[in-house]
Amino acid sequence: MKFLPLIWRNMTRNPRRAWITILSLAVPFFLLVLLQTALGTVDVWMQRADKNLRVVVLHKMGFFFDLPESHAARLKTIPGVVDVCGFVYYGGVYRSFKEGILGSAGVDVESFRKVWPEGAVPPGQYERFRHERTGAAIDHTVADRFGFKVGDEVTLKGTVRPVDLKFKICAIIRNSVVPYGFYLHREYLEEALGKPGILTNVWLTVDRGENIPSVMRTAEAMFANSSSAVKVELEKNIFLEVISMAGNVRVLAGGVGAIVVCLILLVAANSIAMSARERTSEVAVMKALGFSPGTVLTIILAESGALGLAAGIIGCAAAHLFLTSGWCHGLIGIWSSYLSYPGRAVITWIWIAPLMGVAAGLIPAALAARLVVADALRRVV
Amino acid sequence: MRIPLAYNLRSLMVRKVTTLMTMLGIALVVATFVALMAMASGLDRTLRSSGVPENVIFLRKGAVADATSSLTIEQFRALSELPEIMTRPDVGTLASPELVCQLLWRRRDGGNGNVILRGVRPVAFAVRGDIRIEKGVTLQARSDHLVVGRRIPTRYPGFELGSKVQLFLREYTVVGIMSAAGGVYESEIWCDLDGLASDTRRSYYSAVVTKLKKASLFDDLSRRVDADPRIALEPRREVDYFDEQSESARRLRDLWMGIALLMGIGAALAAMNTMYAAIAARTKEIGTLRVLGFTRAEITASFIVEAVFLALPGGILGCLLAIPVDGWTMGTLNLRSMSDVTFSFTISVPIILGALILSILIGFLGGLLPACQGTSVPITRALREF
Repeated sequence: MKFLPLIWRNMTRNPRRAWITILSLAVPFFLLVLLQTALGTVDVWMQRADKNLRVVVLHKMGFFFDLPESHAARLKTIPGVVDVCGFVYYGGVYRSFKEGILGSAGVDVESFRKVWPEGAVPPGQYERFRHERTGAAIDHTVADRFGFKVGDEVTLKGTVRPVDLKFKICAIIRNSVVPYGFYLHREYLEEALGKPGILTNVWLTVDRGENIPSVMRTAEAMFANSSSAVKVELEKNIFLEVISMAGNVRVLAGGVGAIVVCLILLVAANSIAMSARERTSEVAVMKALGFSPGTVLTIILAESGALGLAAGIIGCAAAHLFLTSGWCHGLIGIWSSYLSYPGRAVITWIWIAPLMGVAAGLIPAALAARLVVADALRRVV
Repeated sequence: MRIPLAYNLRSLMVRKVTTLMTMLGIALVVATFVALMAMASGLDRTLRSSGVPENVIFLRKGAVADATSSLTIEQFRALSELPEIMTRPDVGTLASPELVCQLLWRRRDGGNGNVILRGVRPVAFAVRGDIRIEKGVTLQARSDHLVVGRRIPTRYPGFELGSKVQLFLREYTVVGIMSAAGGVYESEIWCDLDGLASDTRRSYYSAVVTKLKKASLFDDLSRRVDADPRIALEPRREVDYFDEQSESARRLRDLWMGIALLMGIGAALAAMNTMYAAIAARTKEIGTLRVLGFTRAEITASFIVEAVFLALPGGILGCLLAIPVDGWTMGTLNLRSMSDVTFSFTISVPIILGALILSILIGFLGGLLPACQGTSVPITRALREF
C-alpha cells in the first residue's frame, strides 16, 4: 500500500506515453466488447427460443417448398398438440429491396395469438387485426424503422409470392421472438394468389415439454413417403440452422478476438518494457538501497495492471456509449433489431483488463527484478 | 542534403526488442486485414464471376433472385421468339428455362445448408460458356441424372460421382461434376427440368437465361420486351444481376474493413509510443544533426521515414503470415437468394497493396507527431540534454 504513491508517480511521469498506451489498448478492448456483444446477441435470442414449446413443420426438402393446406388439420389431431398455425411466407418488401425483406407471412389469425403468446400487444389491437381482412400485425422493429402507426395503409411488394398487397396496420407487437415480423391474414394472401391451398410451414405448440419428441416423431411419420413429406424442428434449432448458414460466425469472431487479445498483450508489453528500460538505473538504485526483487516486480506489475485497467474502462465505456447510441443502430440497419447488448460483457472485460496488463508486464518486470545492480549502474542509458 | 537511411535503420536496430514488438503488433493487424479481405474478396469473386456481358436473365418483375422468381411457359415461349437472342444450329435458340429450388441438406460439418437444385435443359450448358464437366458426363434431357458443382461433394456428403441420391420420390444418380470458373454454379446441383417440375408439382419456370447475338443488343431487347404484353418480365444483364447478388460480399467487406481499421488505429498509437520513446532518447543527436547543418524539415522527414521503416516490415510480415489462408474454403449464405454458396479465400494483388498501404499509413501516422515534436526542441537545449 505504501508504494501506491510511487506507482502513481511512475505512471504519470510520462503522461503522454501513459495516455497513448491507454488509448492504444482501449481501442482493442472496444473491439472485444463489440465482438462479444455480437455473439451474446445470438445467445440471448437462443435463450428466448429455448423456453417455449413450439415446433415447426416444414417440407422435408427445404424451407421453400409448399405443403398442402390439409397438413394443418391433420397435424392438429396428433395427441399433445395444442394449437396449430399455418404460415405462408410472403417475403414482402417496403419501397425497395435495399431496405430489407420484411419477415412477412400470412398466418391463421385465430390461432396466431395462441401459438405466439409472448408478443405483447396493446389492448384491442389484436381484435382489430382479427376483424380487418387486410389487417397486419407488425413487429415494433418494423414500425420503428419505417415509422408505421396503427391505422396506416401500407403496400408491400412480394418477392417470394408474385403479388403486391395493400395492408392496414392494426397491431404493433413488442417482445416477440422473431424480430422484423409482418403478419397478415392467410386468407387474404390465398385469395390474392388464386387459392392455391398452400402453406410454407406449420407451427405447433405442444402441451408439455416431454411430449415434444413424440409429437415430432408422429408428425414426421404421418406424411412419410408422400410427395409432401415433412421435417419437424424445434424453434431453437431452426434459428441455429439459419445462423450456421451464414458461416461459422463463432469461429470467425473467436479468431479475430484472439488476435485482438494478442495485440493488446504486445502493445502493453512494449510500453511497459520501454518504461522499465528508461528506469534501469533507477531500479538499480532502489535495489542498492535494499528493495527486494519481489517489491520491484510488484511495483512494475501494479503499474502495468493499472494501465490495463484504465484502458479497459475507457474502451468498455466507449463501447457502451457506441452500442447504446442511435448511430450504431443506424449503422447495422435491419440487424439492429437483433442487437441485444449484455452489460455483462463490459463488466467482464473491465475485470480482465488489469489482468492482461499484469500479464503483459511480466517479462519486463521479471527482467527488472533480476537486474544485477553493478551492471545496471555501469550501463549508460 | 538528406540524412542517410542507414542512420534510421541503425537507430531501429539499437532498440531491437521494442522495434520487434511494434513490428509484430503491426504484423498482426495487417495479417488480420489480409485474411478478412481475402474472405470478402473470395466471396465477391464467386458471386460475380458467373456473369458474361451478352447474357440476359429474365425474372418476374420485383423478384430479387432466380430462386424466388416465377414465370409461365407462355411467357417463356413469347420471349424465346425475340430476334436479339442467338440461335445455334445444334441446340436451337439459346434461351434456357430453369426451375430453381432450394434443398435443405445436411452438411459435412453438421448443420444444414440451403442448396440450389436447378432444373435445366441441355441448352443451359450452351448458354453458359464457362461450365465444364470435370468428371463424368453431361446432363441428358429427361433423365434421372444429376450434375453437381465441384464444391458440392466437399461440402455435402453423398454427392460423389456415381452416388444415388433420393430427392422427392425419385432416385437420382450423380453422373457428372462441373466447374464454372469459380462461380456460384459450382455450389449448385443441376437436374432435368421436366422431372423436377413434375416432382415439385410446379407448372412454371423460375427464370430464363438467354444469350444475345451481341451484348450491345440489350437496349433493343429491353424496348421490345417492354412493348410486348405477352412477356411482362424484367430482363437484366447477367453481370448486373450477379453484381446485385454480391451484396453479401460488400456488407462483409465493409464490416471487416471497419474491424481492421479499428485495429489499425490501435497499432498506429502503439507505433507512436515507440517513436516518441525512440526520439526522446535522441534529443542530443537531433541537436548534433542540426549543428551539422541538417534542417528541421530534413530531420522530421528522416524520422517519419524511420517510422515507416518500423511499420513496413511489420506489414510485409503480416502479408506473409496471412498467405496460408489463401485457398481456404468456406460456405456462407447469399443474402439475395438465401442459398448456400461455397467460396475460397482469395488473396489478390490489390489486397496486398492495400495491406502495405495500411502498414505505411500506420507508420506515417505513428511517426508524424513524435517527429515534429522531437525536432522542435531548440538546438541549445537539445545539446545540453543528457
